[in-house]
Amino acid sequence: MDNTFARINLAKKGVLMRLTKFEHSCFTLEKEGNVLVVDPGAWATDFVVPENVVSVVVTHEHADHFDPEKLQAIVDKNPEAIIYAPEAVTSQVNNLPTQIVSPDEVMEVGGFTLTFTGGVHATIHKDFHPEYQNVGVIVDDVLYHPGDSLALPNRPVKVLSLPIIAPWEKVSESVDFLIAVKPEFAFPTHDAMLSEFGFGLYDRWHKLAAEKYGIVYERITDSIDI
Amino acid sequence: MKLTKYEHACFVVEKDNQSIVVDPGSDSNNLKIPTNVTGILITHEHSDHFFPERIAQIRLVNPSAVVYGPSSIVSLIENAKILENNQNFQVGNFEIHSFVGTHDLIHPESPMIPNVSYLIDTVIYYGGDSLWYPEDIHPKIVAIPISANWMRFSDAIEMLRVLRPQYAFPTHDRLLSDIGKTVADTHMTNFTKDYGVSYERRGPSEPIEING
Repeated sequence: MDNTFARINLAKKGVLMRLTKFEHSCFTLEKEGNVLVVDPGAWATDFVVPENVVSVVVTHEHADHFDPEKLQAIVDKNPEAIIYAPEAVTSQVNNLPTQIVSPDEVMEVGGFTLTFTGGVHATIHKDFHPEYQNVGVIVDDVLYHPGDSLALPNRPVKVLSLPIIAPWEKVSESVDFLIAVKPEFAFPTHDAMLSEFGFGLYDRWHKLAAEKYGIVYERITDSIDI
Repeated sequence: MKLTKYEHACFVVEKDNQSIVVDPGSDSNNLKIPTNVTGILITHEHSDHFFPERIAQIRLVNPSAVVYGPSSIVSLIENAKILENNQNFQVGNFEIHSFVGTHDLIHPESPMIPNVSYLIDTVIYYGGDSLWYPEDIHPKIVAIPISANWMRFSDAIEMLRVLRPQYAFPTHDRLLSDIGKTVADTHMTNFTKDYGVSYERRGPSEPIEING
């Protein structure tokens, strides 16, 4: 993958974060030796528990984002790690070190500044789908991950984790969200529902829109520096 | 009458030893071409629904098969009949009704193209790539698209809630992984069963038998 864009940006700002992408909605950010884990859910089958984890963010209670076994494994290896999540998640893992977070709350942990957004999960169906809690997270005012929502970060961000397919959105909505956030760089997430063939098409459609608005859209298969 | 579902958007309906093939697109590689095809119904010009090479393969063994579809495919293939909105026509022993509309919106910046929805023998309804549906029909079976860039699950659920067929089977799902199909099928089953819809995924080895 061509990471030139991301590296140049990094050099300019002088801050280095390494982003490692796992399947579906999961990724880690490493900065100055500290690691933040985001949405290590059941569909991130390639997830490897890192060392030096200071915090885990779980955006909501659905199994593709929230996997108690993975959280336990992270805490076993990193007893100092704190799990930030909405109450609907923390109440299900009483035995683990958790902290309830709400929209607009800001947390400082291990050199990361986490700002939470949103509040509710996007609607799958107006009559059948209960209202679930969901928080988005802005890391260091640089990267935004909305969880299962299209809540806007309400500030400029350089990097966007873009949910490209979900029961609650169509492509015109993920495209409009991408254009509204207008990051410099966007990478696809929430895509375990797609076949290999689906990856190709969904990436093509989002890339077309991104290019038109001067956004770099690239699938991350391992790690990049931002 | 027997309905056999193939990959993505394609299915075959057979009655009285005559078959019609619907949307034999580029992604329907497992299509077993029948030798008694009288007609081929095309909803729109996108290659996952309309693939001239596949039509040529069908015509190789069924030289008299007529292709029906929107005006946009006529220049792309020989011996095709353009359908009008609300047209009733016979294809062999089948009675077909066409509804001509537009392909659903992908994004406001994408061009709009025509799309034909079909009612076959007043029993089977299939709308192609469109969320529109006639509200005054009572089909027994609906071919329901479950994953496309122009829709969400809730759109498919709404269509089934209004049409209330006895049976619905998923179509337009080539973009989904096994996980994606499971999620889609679970939502579709759970959210439509209270409306009397029996939603079931069927492969080519499990054709649906339709009586009356």
